[in-house]
Amino acid sequence: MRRDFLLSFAGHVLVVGIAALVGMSRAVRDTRRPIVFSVSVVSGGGTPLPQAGAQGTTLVESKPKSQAKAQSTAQSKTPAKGGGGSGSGTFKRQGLGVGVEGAEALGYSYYLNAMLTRVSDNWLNPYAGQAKVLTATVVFDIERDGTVKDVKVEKKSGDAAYDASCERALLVTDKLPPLPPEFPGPRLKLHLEFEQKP
Amino acid sequence: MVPTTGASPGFLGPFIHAGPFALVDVIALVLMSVASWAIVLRKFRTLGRASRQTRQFLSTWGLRTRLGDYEQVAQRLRHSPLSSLLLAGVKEFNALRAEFGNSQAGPELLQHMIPNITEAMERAASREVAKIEGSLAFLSITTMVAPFMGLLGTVQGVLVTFMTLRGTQIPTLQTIAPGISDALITAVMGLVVAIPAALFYNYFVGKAHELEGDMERFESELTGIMRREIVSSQVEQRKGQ
Repeated sequence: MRRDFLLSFAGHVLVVGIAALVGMSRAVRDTRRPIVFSVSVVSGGGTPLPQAGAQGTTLVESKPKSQAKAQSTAQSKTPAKGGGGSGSGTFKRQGLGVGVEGAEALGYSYYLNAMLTRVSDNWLNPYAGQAKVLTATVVFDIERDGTVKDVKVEKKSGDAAYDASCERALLVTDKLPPLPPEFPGPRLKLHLEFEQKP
Repeated sequence: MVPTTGASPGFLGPFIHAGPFALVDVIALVLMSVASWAIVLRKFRTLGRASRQTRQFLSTWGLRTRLGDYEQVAQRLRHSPLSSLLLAGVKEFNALRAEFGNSQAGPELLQHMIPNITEAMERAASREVAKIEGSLAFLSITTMVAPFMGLLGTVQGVLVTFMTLRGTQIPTLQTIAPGISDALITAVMGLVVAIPAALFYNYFVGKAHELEGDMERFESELTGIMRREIVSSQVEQRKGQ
């Protein structure tokens, strides 16, 4: 009986050891849902790019989107940290506590701000300063190390050149600063709205 | 409750994050698992050998009508429960024959003493059954208790998780999920311990029933042989007269 106990114990140790080794060597894929934001970059009228690209940058936490839009009147304004040379961009938040992820994500607005600065620096709006109204939304993921992945035009503006410029802004950006260490999700999903206004 | 960051927790993650209650639960379950697997290994060996030797015993015994070289058979296949049955029965038979066999009315007296032999064999059989079924009860207990222990750990973990949310304005999935996933590890452990125990318990009970059936059949067969021995010695005695 003692031999059986020893055998059984050794078997358990072996199984746990193998499982731990496998677990350590192969990182378990994080399948948690990404944290989602909707952000819109508004191109200000008549200002040259890229410096003024961030002018009118609006961070809209929208989950659900429609609800966030409905609250657009309740926007609170804080000065942007980045925003290129002109630096007069506005940083707006809304939808406080609307979505589960949104409430937490508001703590990371400095990161989003930095991200917007980088992206708007890379955005070459072909219609900058023109009297056109265009809106395109690009969706993408930011991995924990800051890599931009899965860039897709989610909502087309109807103007192929404009859409391409928006997508290109992200593709050129490629690498952003790593996500804040205290950020709880595996990756950050962003819906970035590029808005062209006269 | 601080939500875990994106770093993958790996296999041991839930164990590391588990609270003291869950840890004690997991340790108890691991001990149960070690004990039940030890029993499984032992039973595999002993029951496997017993049923193998019983098959050999029955094929060797065949349609034997005399006791003959019973000692040799019993010695060779001593791990079969039939061997101890045979030895106990024959020992009783020989003792009775030594006592009454030489008298005039010996064979008739012996016929009356057949129940003594049967009882001796039954005693041996019940000892063998106890040996076969010994410690199977632990497997049965493991089957019943391990899932409940796992469930207890999980319920306690979920309770703690929700208690930490008290007073939180907006409980998010990120704050609840790690606590619950850590709590679930005890339920998983409970099932991992209970499922093999249930499987092997039923397998061994089946084997034990098979052996018990063999013992019962052999007992009646042996009683028949002994009756025959008595009658034939009676016939010889009459011939001698």
